[in-house]
Amino acid sequence: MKVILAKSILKANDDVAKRNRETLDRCKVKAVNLISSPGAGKTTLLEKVLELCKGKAAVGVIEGDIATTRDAERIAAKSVPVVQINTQGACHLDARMVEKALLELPLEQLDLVVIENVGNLVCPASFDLGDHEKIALLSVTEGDDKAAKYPRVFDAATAVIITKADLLPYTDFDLDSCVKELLQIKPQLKVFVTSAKAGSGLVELVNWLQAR
Amino acid sequence: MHELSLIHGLLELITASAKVHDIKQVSLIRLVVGEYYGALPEALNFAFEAVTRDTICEGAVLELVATAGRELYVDYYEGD
Repeated sequence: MKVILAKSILKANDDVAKRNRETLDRCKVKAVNLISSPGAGKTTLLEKVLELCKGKAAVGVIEGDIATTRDAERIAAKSVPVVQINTQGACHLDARMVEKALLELPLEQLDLVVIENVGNLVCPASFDLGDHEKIALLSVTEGDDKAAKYPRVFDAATAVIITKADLLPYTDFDLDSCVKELLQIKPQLKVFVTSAKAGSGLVELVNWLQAR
Repeated sequence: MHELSLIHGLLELITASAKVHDIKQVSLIRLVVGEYYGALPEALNFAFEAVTRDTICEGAVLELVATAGRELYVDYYEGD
């Protein structure tokens, strides 16, 4: 017997993602999905953003890593609710993992949930988590050609945060050409140039997040 | 690496549909994969073999159709 299906194999994930988004909407919580390669500075940036949000917005964090609770420990030190997901080898978070993590967060008391995806510039872009937007990070030490080489993740994002801008003088990173290539991939992308170390660009980022 | 997750999704989809149609053994699955997903045929086949062991899809032929777009769906499958 031949059965015509014509159904997406991501449907199971997408159904759970939709449910996650409904849960978040019901609790009036906004969720952002942070995606970057390993070492781009997601956790360090998040630490600084959490400091700036203190007293302005209640933020919860979901940390995704293949192993260890190191990132969750760093975030917990900022006195915000945090859940660590260990993917046991999987290279991305999926909607089911996030569904379980959301149960552990006091959603009724939160304004924003930040989901820090597994460090990977390829796979996380395929899996909807139920977030409201994806934000991609790109550090200057990775090189200015990454947007052109990994266009999909930047195409899926609403904003790109260029991190470690304090290192610009020490690298060949061409900021103008990088931004140009990002906007070629997606003209409506919002681009932030930040340095967690120098504290630059962070207020703009937090204001933008709050406005959304 | 995400090929494994994609094949898990595929197996879930086929298993649910096969139950409805009372199919006990699947012999062929035609999967359309857009370039957008960056899924490698070798990795998909490898994951398919590993994931379908001891399931109704064990031994089935996975027919991959590569497209340039954002498609990622099971076109059809065959079984008894």
